[in-house]
Amino acid sequence: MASREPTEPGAGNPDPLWRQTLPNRMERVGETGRRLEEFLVEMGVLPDVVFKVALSFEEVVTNVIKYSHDDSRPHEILIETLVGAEEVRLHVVDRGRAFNPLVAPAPDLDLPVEERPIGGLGIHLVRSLAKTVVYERSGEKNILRLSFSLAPGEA
Amino acid sequence: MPLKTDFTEPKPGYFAVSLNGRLDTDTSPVLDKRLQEVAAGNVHAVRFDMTHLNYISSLGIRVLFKAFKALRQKKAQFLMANLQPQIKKVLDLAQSLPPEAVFASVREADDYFDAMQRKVLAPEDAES
Repeated sequence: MASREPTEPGAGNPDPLWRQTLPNRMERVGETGRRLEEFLVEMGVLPDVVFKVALSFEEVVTNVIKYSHDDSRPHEILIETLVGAEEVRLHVVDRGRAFNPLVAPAPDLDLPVEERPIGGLGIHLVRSLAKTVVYERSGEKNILRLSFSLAPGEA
Repeated sequence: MPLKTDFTEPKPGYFAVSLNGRLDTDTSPVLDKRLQEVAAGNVHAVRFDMTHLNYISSLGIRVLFKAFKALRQKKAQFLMANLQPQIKKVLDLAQSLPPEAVFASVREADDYFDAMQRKVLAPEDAES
């Protein structure tokens, strides 16, 4: 387990906490995602739920890497995952420009397959798989808070 | 294990691709390159065996969708068999690939391709 120290935004929470920072580099996303999955499996989270959290992690973090910064300097992204009695919570925090992924237009799924543009899917998947997704701009931070029901089959 | 792919060509122009592991940000570009090469060549169909694919992200879906579009332009078939439930669910949510491309088993996909080939080669025989 990476760390169990109570930290903001999970301050004072006794639930198992996995806390990790990663640089805004695409090549680091897969490895961090696999470690997140290992933590969830260790905590006894069911595979169906592990899949939803891991997929949401990848989609949200790749979005942050793509859109949060214009420069090529390294920037840190903070990931916190809490396993509670009824849900898993995933927080993604970055200090890039204000960017609310939830206001991005949903892909037009009514278009015929041939005419549909490739792309725009990631956030649509996250919104479909998570129970709740909340964006907050706090000072210079973007905070995205996601929750997932621990019951299999539920969002 | 991130992603293991296996490409074979059991019949001329019929490519059997098995995907084992994760189709994610790390692994999708390699598969994309390989599929574009196949789609650019002499191809009648690409059949994916998804039995051991246990993870797919939006980038992985885009790679499959791109291959689907490239193949359809050439009137070649795109077939997928044995999807794990979580993969099926995400593909359903994405609505990127038509349901008729999805088969319950590799055998079913192969039989479908054979039947389509017979129809193309001898339309009257196939109908009788």
